[in-house]
Amino acid sequence: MRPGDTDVAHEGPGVSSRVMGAGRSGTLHQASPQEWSCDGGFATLCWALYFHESGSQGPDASNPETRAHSMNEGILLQGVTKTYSRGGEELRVLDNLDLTMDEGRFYALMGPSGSGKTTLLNLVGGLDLPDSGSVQVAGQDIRSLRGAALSAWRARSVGFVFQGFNLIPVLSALENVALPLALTPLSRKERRQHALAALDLVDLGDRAGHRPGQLSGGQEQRVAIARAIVTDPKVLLCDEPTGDLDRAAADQVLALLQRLNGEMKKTVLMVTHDAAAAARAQRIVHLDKGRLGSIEEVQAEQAAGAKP
Amino acid sequence: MSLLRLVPRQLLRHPLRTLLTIGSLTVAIFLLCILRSLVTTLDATATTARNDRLWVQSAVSLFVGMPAWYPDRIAQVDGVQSVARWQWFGGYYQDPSNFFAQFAVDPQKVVDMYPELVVVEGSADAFVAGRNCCMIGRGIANDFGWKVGDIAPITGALFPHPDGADKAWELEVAAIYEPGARNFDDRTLFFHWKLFEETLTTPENSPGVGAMVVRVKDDVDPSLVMGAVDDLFMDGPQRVQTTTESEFQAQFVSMFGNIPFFVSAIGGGVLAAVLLACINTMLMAAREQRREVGVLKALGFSDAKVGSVLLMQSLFLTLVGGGMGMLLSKGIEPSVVAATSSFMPGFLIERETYLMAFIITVLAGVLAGLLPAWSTRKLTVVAALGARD
Repeated sequence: MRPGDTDVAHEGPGVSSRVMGAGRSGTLHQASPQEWSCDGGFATLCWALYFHESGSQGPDASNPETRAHSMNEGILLQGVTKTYSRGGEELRVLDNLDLTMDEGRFYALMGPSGSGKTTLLNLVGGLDLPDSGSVQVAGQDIRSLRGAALSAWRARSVGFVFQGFNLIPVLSALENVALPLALTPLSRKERRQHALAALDLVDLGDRAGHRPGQLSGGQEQRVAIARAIVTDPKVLLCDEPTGDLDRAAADQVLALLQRLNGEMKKTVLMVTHDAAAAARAQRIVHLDKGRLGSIEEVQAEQAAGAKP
Repeated sequence: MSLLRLVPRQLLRHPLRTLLTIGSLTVAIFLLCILRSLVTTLDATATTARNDRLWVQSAVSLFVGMPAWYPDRIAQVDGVQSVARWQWFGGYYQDPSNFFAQFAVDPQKVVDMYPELVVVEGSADAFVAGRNCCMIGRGIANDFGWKVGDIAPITGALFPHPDGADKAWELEVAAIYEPGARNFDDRTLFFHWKLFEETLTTPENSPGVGAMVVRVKDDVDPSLVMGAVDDLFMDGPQRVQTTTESEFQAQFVSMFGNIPFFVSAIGGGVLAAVLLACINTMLMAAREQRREVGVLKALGFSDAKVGSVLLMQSLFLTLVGGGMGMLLSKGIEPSVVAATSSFMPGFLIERETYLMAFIITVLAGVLAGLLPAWSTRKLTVVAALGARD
């Protein structure tokens, strides 16, 4: 560590972060469960420090070393096939799909209905398993995991944001956000501090005690995002996160996702039908009838200026 | 945020439904406790009765009297220690609705034969010594405000006072007892056979004996005495039937029919119906929480943990309902004691009954929650979220 670096022992469960005080860039590495620890207020401070001090640029794709690392820690699908049986008919939703997504990038997944977008998202998130082929996320072959091990991996590595928000209606915003932390060894106080920090991050700290029914759609989705990032996963999977929102709320949510990608280096994979929303990503992956159509690079100015 | 906190919150999502389910469980467990206690009380009445005390009654019926000289003859049978006369008096205090049991008895013999009559006020000696004295149970004393030394005026319905049907038999309270065993209640009045006999005897008539209690000597087989007493009057003038006290009580209970079966069938039926209602409630809850189950699983909660939330909801529901049912039955117990004392002394909800109710409550919770929990556990995240492109 160079003089002047700020060593942050812990920022959230599952991840240790070394925040470079002046370097405007940061690295993340996945901690083993034994490394999970937190010191409450300090961790909250780390959140704030990290979001405000770390660089807004993603990993440098032009740097071969970074590129190689990203490839390992990104999302890799090889020969993935998924078939569903509907009404006695076999429906091949994904057909021998090969796809590589780099770590720390913001991807939009587009395609007509039935093209396999959500199925792909489910496979990457370990919610479903492919019939054949391999799915690697952050260096982990998902097919090698089953049952509780798969659940634990999900809790550690992936955050989900759904179109319908899917907050638990009987819990407050704070309790919803704190829910995934119940799977960590953090104390009650620490879980509360982490959840509050995550809510502050999405500008909803003052709505901590509100239940989902007392929040607007945009606020609900931001709470859902806070819940998705509270365990500091490497990958954020968003299934049409702006589908149920008006333009202004959608813009807020997309800006937040961009910020999480840019400042926290989260790999974001977002399914969307909305071209304007997709334009906020760095790359757009087009699916067609379960096959890869094309991958489109979005210009930085376009992403910054795009409005849903 | 622990998943445990979800349990009551999810149940309060539909407060009326939860309240009704808890209410039905409360009623079912309450009925179970009360009905079960009726059965155990009937059993206890028979089982706490002693085998060294024999009851002798007319072979025709309990309501047919026997000649007055029978006790003396029975006392001469080998193995008999003493014979006490008992006569159901059938009177009331002031109004027929103030009904309780009264017996004319041989006081000294009854005091000697029944150590379970524990005198708590006054004295047994005073009761035995005074011809006009009586011994009453604590329940009667409380009901009518009688104290030792007071006069208890009892109007004879079966045996009107010779001086006029409206004239009460005036009995002085000499002792107040509390039952030391469950074969007695605390709502019985005992008075002197001598007073009874002398008041009713006329030159033309004298009262017979309703029943007799025979105390068998310690080293004698009661069945031999029973046979000897029955044989004694085989040729008349009136045959008798001798049984042990426990058999006598059981026979008395059997007059109500097969109550244990009847009561158990009702309790079982109510419980089964409520169990089905609970299962239905939990299945509805599982269906409503299906999407949230998907969310919890997506967040990384294991199938077992998510399934256990449903199971805990079910257990919470039944434990609250069952607990309230047990509390209600405990609260109602004194009223049931008062209402049943005249025909079923010693009503008590035993600890074993509460234990059984608790076990049934837990079992109902497990049974009602098992199917929803299992189906929740098996539900895939994709199916739960209903998310498929």
